Amino acid sequence: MTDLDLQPLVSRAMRKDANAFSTLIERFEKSALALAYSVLHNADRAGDVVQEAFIRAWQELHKLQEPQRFAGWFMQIVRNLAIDAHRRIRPALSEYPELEGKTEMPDFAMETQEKASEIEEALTELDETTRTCVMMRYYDGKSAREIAELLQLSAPAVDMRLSRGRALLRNRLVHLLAEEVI
Amino acid sequence: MTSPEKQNLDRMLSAHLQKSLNSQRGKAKDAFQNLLRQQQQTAPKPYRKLWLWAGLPSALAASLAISITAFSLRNPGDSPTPIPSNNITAAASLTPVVDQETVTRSLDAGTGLLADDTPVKLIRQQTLQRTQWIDPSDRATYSVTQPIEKVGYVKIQPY
Repeated sequence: MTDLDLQPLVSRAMRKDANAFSTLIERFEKSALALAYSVLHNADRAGDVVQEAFIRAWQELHKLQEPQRFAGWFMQIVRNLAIDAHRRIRPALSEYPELEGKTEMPDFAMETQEKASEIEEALTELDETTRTCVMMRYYDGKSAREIAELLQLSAPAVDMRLSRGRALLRNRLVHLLAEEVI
Repeated sequence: MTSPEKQNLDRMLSAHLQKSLNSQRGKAKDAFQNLLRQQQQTAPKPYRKLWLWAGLPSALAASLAISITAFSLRNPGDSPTPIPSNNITAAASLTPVVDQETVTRSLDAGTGLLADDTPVKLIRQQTLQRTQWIDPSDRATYSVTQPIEKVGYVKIQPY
């Protein structure tokens, strides 16, 4: 969907057209999940934050000055809510030091659990913006230009982060890549 | 990074993220649909508004008519008492009316003088209006009996 397709949709949603807003949810859900997951490292909490972000966007859409800026505006809501959720969870985690830095794995089969943990740890080692770029690329298939628009960065900056992120992940996961080749 | 390695990394990251996050898809849309349903349930129903808007002017008009008649009469003993209309308009918002019954009688209220000293014969018209509503949400029945009193007059030719 191009910006030109998006603008009338956002304008309709601003006039409280629920169908238009449902289409926006479908359109931005994966990117929002990637961003929230990048901050929270927990799929369930990321899902909750995205849900809350869409409800908030629906309620505050009248505050958006220019419909063409919806993507960046909405992603900022997601990020702020994810950071808030992360802050809320940190004091609880600090009571259990053994859980600090660990990420919750979804229901992977036992044989892939270890591999999933390694990928997750490698992603955690990237800085947040690079991790978000990588997640948007690999989860939502976004181009550098699209990621740049969502995160309000320049396309070359996103390209650079994607390239750097890939290189770091490759170094970290080289043994897993070798297994895949075999 | 060689091309097969790059492809493997792409495939591995993509598969990992799909597995981790796909279970969360649809939550936002469900929450939005729930919000819309809640808003629809709590929004005032159109016919309730209609009855409120229909009932309010009627009650106001009745009160006004009684007040004007009372003011135009000199004899303070004959002044009709305005009917409080708060509970009637509140009940009118329940809607829809399932039954309405009206009983009226006219009484001779003696004579009086208008502001310009014209002698008049006073007629007191008393009405009891019973209205029954039903609340569609719980099928509860509500009824209100409204007493209405109007004082009219007929001019009398002086001797």
